Amino acid sequence: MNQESTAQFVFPKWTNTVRPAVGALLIAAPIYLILLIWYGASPQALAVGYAPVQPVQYSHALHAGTLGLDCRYCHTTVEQAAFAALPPTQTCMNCHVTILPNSPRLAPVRESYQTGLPLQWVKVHDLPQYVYFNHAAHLNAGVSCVSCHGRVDREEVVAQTAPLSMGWCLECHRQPEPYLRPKELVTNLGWVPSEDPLKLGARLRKENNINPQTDCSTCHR
Amino acid sequence: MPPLNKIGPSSHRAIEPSGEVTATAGCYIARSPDHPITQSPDLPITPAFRRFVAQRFPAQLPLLDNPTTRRRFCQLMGASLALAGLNGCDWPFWPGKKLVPEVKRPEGRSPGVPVYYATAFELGGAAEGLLVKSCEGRPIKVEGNPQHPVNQGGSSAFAQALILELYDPGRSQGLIRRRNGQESGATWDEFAVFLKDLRARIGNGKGLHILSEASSSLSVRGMRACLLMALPESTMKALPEAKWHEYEPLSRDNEREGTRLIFGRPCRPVYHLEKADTIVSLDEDLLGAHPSAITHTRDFAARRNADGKMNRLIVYESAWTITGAMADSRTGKKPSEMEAFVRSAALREALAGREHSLVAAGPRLSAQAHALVHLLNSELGNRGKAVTYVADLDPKRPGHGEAMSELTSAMEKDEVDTLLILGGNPVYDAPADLEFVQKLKKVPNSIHLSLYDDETSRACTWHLPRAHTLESWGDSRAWDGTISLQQPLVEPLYGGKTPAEVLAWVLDEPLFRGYEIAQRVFKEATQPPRSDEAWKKALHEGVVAESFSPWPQAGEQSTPPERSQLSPPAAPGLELLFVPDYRVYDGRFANNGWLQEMPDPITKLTWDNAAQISPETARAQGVGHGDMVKIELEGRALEIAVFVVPGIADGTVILPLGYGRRFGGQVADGVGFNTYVLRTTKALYTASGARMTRTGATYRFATAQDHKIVSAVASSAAAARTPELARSASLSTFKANPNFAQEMIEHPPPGQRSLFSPPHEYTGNRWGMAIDLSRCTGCSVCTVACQAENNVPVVGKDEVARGRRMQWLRVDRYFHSPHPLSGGERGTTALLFQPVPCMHCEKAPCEEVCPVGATSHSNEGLNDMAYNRCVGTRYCSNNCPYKVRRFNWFNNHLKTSEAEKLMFNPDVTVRSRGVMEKCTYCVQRIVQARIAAKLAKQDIKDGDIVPACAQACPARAIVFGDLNDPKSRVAEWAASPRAYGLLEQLNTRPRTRYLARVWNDASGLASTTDVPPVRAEHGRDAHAAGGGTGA
Repeated sequence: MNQESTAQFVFPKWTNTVRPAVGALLIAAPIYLILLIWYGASPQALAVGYAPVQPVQYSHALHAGTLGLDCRYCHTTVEQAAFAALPPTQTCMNCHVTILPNSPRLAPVRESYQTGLPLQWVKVHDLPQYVYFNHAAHLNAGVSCVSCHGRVDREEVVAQTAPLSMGWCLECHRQPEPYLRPKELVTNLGWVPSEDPLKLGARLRKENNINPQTDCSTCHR
Repeated sequence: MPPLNKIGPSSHRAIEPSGEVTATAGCYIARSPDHPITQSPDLPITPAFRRFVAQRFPAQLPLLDNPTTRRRFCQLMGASLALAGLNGCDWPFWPGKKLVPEVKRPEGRSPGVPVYYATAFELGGAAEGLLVKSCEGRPIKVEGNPQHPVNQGGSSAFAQALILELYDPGRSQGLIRRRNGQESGATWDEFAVFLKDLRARIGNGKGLHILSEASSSLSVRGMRACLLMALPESTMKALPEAKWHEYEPLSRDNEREGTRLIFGRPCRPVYHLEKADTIVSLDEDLLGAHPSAITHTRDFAARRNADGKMNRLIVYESAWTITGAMADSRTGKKPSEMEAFVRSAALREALAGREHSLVAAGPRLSAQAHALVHLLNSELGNRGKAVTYVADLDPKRPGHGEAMSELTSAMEKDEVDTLLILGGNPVYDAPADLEFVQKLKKVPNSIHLSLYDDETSRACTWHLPRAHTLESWGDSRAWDGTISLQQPLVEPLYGGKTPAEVLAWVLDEPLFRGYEIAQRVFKEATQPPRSDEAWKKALHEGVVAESFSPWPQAGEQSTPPERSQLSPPAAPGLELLFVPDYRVYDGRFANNGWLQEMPDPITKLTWDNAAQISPETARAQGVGHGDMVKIELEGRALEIAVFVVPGIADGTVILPLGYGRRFGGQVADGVGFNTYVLRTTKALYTASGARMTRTGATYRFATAQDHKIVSAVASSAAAARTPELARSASLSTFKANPNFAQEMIEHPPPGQRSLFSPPHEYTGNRWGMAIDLSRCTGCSVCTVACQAENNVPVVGKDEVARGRRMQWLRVDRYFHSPHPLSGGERGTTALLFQPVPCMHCEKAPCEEVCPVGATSHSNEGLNDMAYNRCVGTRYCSNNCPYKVRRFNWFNNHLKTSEAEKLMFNPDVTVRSRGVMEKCTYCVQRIVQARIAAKLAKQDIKDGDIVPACAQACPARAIVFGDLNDPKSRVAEWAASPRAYGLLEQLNTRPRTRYLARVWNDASGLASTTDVPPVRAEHGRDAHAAGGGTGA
C-alpha cells in the first residue's frame, strides 16, 4: 500500500468545517421551521392584509377620506348595537340618484335597488363564531374605529390591518390607556392627541370608569 | 306594529323535503344485499322484514309497496354522488363569508338586535300569552307575556317548546291527496276546485260535518257563524245545514256539567289561590294540568311564605300530580273512593267554619261531584272570593264525548258526505269503542287540517298543512276569558293555513285571510266597534285589558243533586285512571324532542309513558318495576310496562295518555304505549274492573334519576342523605328554630381555609342565584326554557339511559317516606323537588383540575367555560360533586336539520363533540345587561338580568342578582334563615343557595306531629367562634 493510494480515502482538510456547519444547520432548521409555522400560521400572516374583491368598487378613501363622510353615516348602528350595520342599498342611492347616476361602477347598486335583491359584500374582519364582539361597548368607551380597522379613510379597498387575535385583544383589555380618546372623536381616524396619549388615556379611563374585563365570558359564551 | 311583510329574508329559506325515503331505502338495501336493487318489482319483502319496518319505521311502511320510490331513490343518490364531486372544486378553501344588508331597512330595525312580539298560544281551548323573541325574522325564544294576566312573565313547558315545533322538519310540508290507496301531493288551488265541486254538490250544506278541536278563538267562532247561519248582513253564502262537532280528548266537561246542574247554565270556575288560606284539591291538578296552572302556581307560591301568612294545601288524589307533591297533606284515594269521598259529608264537616278556603274538584270527577263542590264553596263563603265564575263561551255545546258519539253515529248511517276535521287527531285519540277509523272509511270525502301528516290525516282523503301558532293570525281566550291576540312571527314555512282561514275557503272567500278575520272580529266584537288604535294597542300588548266577562253572581238556579245519590260501585279488580301527560299533553306534542326528553316531574321518566302503580299494588299483582304487563278491560287489551311509584293509590293503575303514536313523526313514532286503546265513552277518565297479567317480558326505561345506584348499600346511603340535599321541615319546627336548615349538617365556618386558589375579591358585581324549594312545584319548565335559550341538544332515549342527557338544569325529585307531617304513618309519602343548575362555587373543584384552563373563575364570581379551549378530559365533571357538567359525546348538532338550525340562539355558541358544557347563569344575558347599563351610564339594577329558568318559572322560585348589593332580592333570599348550600360540607362555597322547604302543619285535616329534622349536633358555639372542623 503506498501513500498515494491511501490518500484518496482520506477526507480533505476542508471537510473539517462541514461538521459544525451541519450541526448549526440541524439546530437552526427546526428553529426556522418552528418560527416559520409560528408566524406563517399566525393571524398576523394569514389575516392581516386580507383584501378581497368586493362586488362594488366602493372606495372608502374617496367617501370617508376625500369627501369626509363620517363612518356613522353608513354604519348607523355602530354606537348602539353589537353589529356595525352595513348600509342598505337605500343609503347609497340617497346620494347616487343625483350624483353619478349612470356610473358603470355603480351598476350593481342600481340593480340591487331596482330588483330588491341585496348586495353581497365579502366579509373582511371576521372573528371566530365563539367570539362575541360588541361595537357599541367599545365605541362608547372611547376606542376609535382606527384601533381595529386602521386608516380605512385611506383605503381604496378595505383590508384587514390588525391581526384580531386573542392576544391582540387582550393587549388592550389589560392596558387600555394608549387606545382611549374622547368619545366624540372615535370616528375621526386621523386624530392625534396633543398630549401624552398614556396620560390622556389614564384620565379618560378614570373619568369614564372604564374597566375592560379579561374573563373568558367577556367574549366567549 | 309588525305588518306581515316585516319578516326577514331567512324566513323564506326553502326547506328541503326530509330524507325519510332515503333512510328507509338505505336501510332496506343494507339489509338485503343479495337482491339487486334494479329488480325492484321482484324484491322479496318477507313478513319478518315487513314487521321490522313496521316496528322501526312505521311511517315508511307504505313505501315498501311502492317500487317507484325506490327507483327514484337510486336516481337521486346517483345524482347526489355526481354533484358531490363538484363540491371539491370550491376555491379558496375558506371562501369569504358574505355580509348581506337589506335593500331598504325597516325603520327602527337594527341588524343583530332581537325584536319581541306579543302573541298567544291556545291549548285545549284556553290561551296563554306569549312574548316571542325574533332575530333577523327568525323566532328563537318564547317567553310568557309579562302583561298577560295568566302568564305575568311565566310560561308553560309546552309554550317553551313551541319553537322546536315550529322548526320541526317532520311537520307536513304540503297538501296530500289520498285516493284508492294512492297518495299524491296537491296544491291549494286543487283543493279550491274540490271545494267548488263540494259546494255545488251539497247546496245548503247537508252532509257537511265539521269536527273541530276546542277553540276559544273569536275568529273561528266568527267564521263558524258565517258558515252555519245565513247572517243578513253577510255576503257570504252560508251552509246552514252543515253540522259542527267539537271534540277534545282531555276535556273539562264534567266540571262544566256540574255548573249547569247548579246554576242552570254552564260556566267556568276561576280560582284565586292567593285569596285562600286553605286549599282543598280533589283530584284536581291545580298547579299542573289545569288550563290556568301558571296563574295558580304563581298565586299559590306567593302564599308559601313561611315568614308571613302561609297557605295550606290539602290534596286527595289517585295519581301523583305536582299539586299533590306541593301538598301539606296528601291522601291517595282510588278513583271510586274519591267519588264517594266528595259525596260524603266528611269534607264538609272538616272545612266547616273555616274562612278563606277553596275546594277544587278535578275534571275526572263526575258532574254530580262537581255540583256538590260548587255548593260547598258557596256554603263556605268562597264564591266571589277564592272562586269566581265566568260565562261559558258556548253554552249550547254538547259534551265532547257526546259530540263525538253523534258524529260517529252519523258516519255510521252514511249521513256524512264530507267531514272537515280542523286540528285534533281523532283517529288516534277518539274513544276506542266508537271505532272512529272504521267509520271514517265510510265517509267519501274527509279533510284533515293538521301540523303533521298523522294518524287521522292518513285515514282522510285530504291532508291540509296547518299554520303553526307562531305563523298564525288569530285570537284566543284565556281560562278566565281574557282575550289575547295572536300574531305571526314568520310567514307560514310550508304554506299552512289556520282553521279560520280554511273555513273562509269553505265559504268561497279565499282572500279573507287570518289577518282580516282577526281584525274584523276583534273590532266588531263590541258596540260601538273598536278603533284601529285599539287594534294596534291590543296587538302590541298581546292582551285586551278587562276583556273577560265575569258571570253575574246569581244564586243557584237548579236543585242540587242528592248527596245520597251514590255513584255506581266500582267493579272488582283494578281501577284505571287516564291522565294527561306533563310532556306530550294528549299526544299532540309527541314529536317534540325537548318535551320528550324533559323528565316527567314525578317519575323522572323520559321518552316513555308507563302504567304507574304503587309498590303495594305491584306486590299484590306479582309484577315488578319494568315488567311488561297486559291490562285487560272489557275485552280490550293493552300491553304496557309497569313503573312503580310510591304514593299512588293502591289498586289503581295510572295510564298517561299521548304516547304510542304510529304516525306522529320521526321523534314520536314508537315511543311509549298507546293508552287510548282502553279508553271508551263510558270510561273517559276512570274505569274499574281491569285485570293485569305479566307477559314475561321486561322493558328498559330511560329515567333521568336513580340510574347510577348499583347496590343496596349505595341505595340506602342515598336515601339517608336525601333529607340533607333537599331540606325541609314543618312550619312549627321552622318557627321554633328558623335556622333548622343550616343546622342540619356540619358545615365549614365562613372563614374556613380552602386547598384551592386564593380568595377572589369582588369589587363590582357578585352574581348569585337562590332557589326557594317551598315555591318550586317541579314542573320542569325551567329545564325546557334553558334548553331553548342555550342551544342544548336532544340526545334520545339510549343516551339518556346511559346518563348522558345534556340539559344544563335538572330537577331532582326526592321521595320522603313517611311524610314529614304524617307522624310516621306508614304509606305516606312526600315528594320534594330540587332544581340543580351549576352552583358556580366560590372554591370550584372543577376549575382546579382543568389542565388547559378551559374553565375559570371570573371576577364577578362566575364559573366560566371557554368551549374552544376544552380538550375533553372530563376531569372537571369527575371532580364536580353536583354533577352539573355535561359532556358532548357526539356532534349532536350535526344531526340538526336545516330548518332547526334557524332556531339557534345566535348569542350562544353551538358546542361540538368533545366539549364540556354546563349552566352559565345565562352569561349572554349578563353581558348584554352589563353593556346596556354601560351605554346608559347606569349601574345594573336588580332585576335587569333574568336567566331563562327564572324568567320561565311560573312560581317565581328562582331569583338571580348581585350578592354584593344587600338590597337585591337574591341577597335577601341568601340571607334568609332557610338558606343553605348544597353539599356545603365540602367547602365548595356554592353560590346557588337553596331555601329549605317548609310544610304547613297548621291544625286540622291532617296530623300535626312532626319528625324533628335536626340530624347532627351542630356545635353552635364553635360556629360562632369561627372554629369548627370543616371539610
